[in-house]
Amino acid sequence: MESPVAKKATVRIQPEEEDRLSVLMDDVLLSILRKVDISSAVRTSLLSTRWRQLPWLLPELSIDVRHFLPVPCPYSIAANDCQQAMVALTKAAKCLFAKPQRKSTITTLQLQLYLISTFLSDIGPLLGDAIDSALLKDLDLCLLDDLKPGDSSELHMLQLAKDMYGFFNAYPSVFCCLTRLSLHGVCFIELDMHHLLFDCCTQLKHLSLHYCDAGRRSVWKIDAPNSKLSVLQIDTCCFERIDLVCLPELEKLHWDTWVSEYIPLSFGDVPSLGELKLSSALTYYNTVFKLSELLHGTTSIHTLTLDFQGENLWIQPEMKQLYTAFNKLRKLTLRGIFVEFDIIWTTAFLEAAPSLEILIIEAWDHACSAFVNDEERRSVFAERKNPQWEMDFHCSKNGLLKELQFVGFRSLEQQFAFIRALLDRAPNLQAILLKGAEQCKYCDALETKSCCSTESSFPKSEDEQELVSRRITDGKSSPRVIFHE
Amino acid sequence: MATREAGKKMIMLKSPDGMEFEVEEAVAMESQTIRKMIEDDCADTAILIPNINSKILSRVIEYCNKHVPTTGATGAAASDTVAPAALAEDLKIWDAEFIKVNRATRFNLIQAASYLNIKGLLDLTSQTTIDTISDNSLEEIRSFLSTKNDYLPEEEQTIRRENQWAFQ
Repeated sequence: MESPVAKKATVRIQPEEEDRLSVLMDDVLLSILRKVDISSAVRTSLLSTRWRQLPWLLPELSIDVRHFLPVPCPYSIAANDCQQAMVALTKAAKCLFAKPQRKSTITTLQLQLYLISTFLSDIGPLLGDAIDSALLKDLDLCLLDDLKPGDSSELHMLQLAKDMYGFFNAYPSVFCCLTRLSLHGVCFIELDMHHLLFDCCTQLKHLSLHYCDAGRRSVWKIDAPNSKLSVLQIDTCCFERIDLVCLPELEKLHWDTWVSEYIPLSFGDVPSLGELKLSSALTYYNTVFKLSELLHGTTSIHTLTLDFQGENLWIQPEMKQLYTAFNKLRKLTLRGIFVEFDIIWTTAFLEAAPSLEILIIEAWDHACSAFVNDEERRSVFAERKNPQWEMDFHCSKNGLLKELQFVGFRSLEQQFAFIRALLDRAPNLQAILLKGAEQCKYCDALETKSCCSTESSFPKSEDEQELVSRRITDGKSSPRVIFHE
Repeated sequence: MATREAGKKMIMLKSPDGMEFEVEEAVAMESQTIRKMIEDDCADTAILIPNINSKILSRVIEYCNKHVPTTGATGAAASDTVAPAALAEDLKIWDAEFIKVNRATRFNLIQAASYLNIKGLLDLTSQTTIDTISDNSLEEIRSFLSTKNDYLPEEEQTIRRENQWAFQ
């Protein structure tokens, strides 16, 4: 296929007009092509002969099956669309990383596909060959579930586990270069989860599990002293608890939505863990716990995010007990604080975190709800109660704190009260960034967009902003107040 | 060569059209290409920057001057620096002004950013091109890039057929 094209190229007439971008070097063009989606990149091979081979020289490839769906990210996918998208993805994979077209090494391949066994027998050999002939170095694999999490049954989850296991067993070389793995809707109950993820995937650095479990309310114990895992993301997985006994290189841990009755996590030997993000809405079946107990065993957390998703806090009042865990904390984010709640309780965290440099607070105000009516809501969530923490504050200051970001700011009394209190605590604060609420497509579709009883909104006009600035700083030039809707 | 007081040390950059620019070493080192030359001790008195004329080079230096970190410290310990959000906000506004140039200048800047390996500048200058390639028809992309289609019709058909998945 190659040679006839190349021969013809020699007798071509040069374009008269200056071809501005095409005179650029290959690596400049490649640096541009790597930022567009793979279909657009391949289409550019038709621009001119100069562009003919460029897409096949891209060192990093990303192929996402969802890109081939009729609607990019639909709410639910028709089985036929799913199959068609996998057909297109298989063609793309063949075209992009099989010889003879592909000659240069792929440093990273990001591949997102549906876990459908009939297609895995096409993709598997392609991957295996590319790895065995040293064309592929690093594989970032995401195995998606074609069903929505709510529509998936235990039987379906078990089938996905079986297919995945079959795939990995049939193409063992895939394990060797698997650096990132993302799994959706897999139930590990019949598999040795620990062996598969930590003994087989020896190069694994990022692992994310979405709606996966090992049987409802199971305890997942991770004891992997040789693992290179640095990022672990858990999204709505039905574990009662995850025990991180030993993960020496783990740097980041995110857990969004747990079902645990008690403390969802315990830490053993995790010396590198610096970033922790915990996000969940407190339901009737959870109990509140002490954050210091959860953090016990961590030694180097510098970035902590707690998200309450607009419900009651899932932590108990504490201050002094947090000193050890907050010792190295530099960035603290407290999200999902219900808009009508006081924020002053967060001062307890400031007191326990002398090294804090950046504080981010988000006031939560969503009218959208997953529930049909209030009654249904009340069957899951308790009535919201303003958090009132009685604390014995010393006159300590947060001398290193230089920035406050307030998301969902709307000139409410408790928001001003908090910011003023913070100014007293943080003499070196340089900037206060006031942001509007983050966009929510579900709220946007509603007529009433707020569940706050007070009518006030983000200051938009210059006059309003000037007024807010003055109310915060008393006309002083520092800290700087920045508005960002 | 790269001493502890890198911030104070000056470096001379020369463009092929004979202009000389004296810049702080820390500013010049925003370019990974120049950084490597300095670290490898290849930059004694002056560094000749080939293929980049003085007009473009001066703009590149302007960009580096603005984007050089305010202190030499790296990592988190830089507690005396300006709050990141305030800084980011300033830079965003400045960048938006900086990139208001004609297309020819923009392509020259892309080339310079690529040769000098300045990631931020490359991202900034190539964004319009990335958007154009992502959202437009081949004919529109060709006209934006002033590229002529030099394929024979049968070649064009072959490429379309081989990569049909990308044209659906």
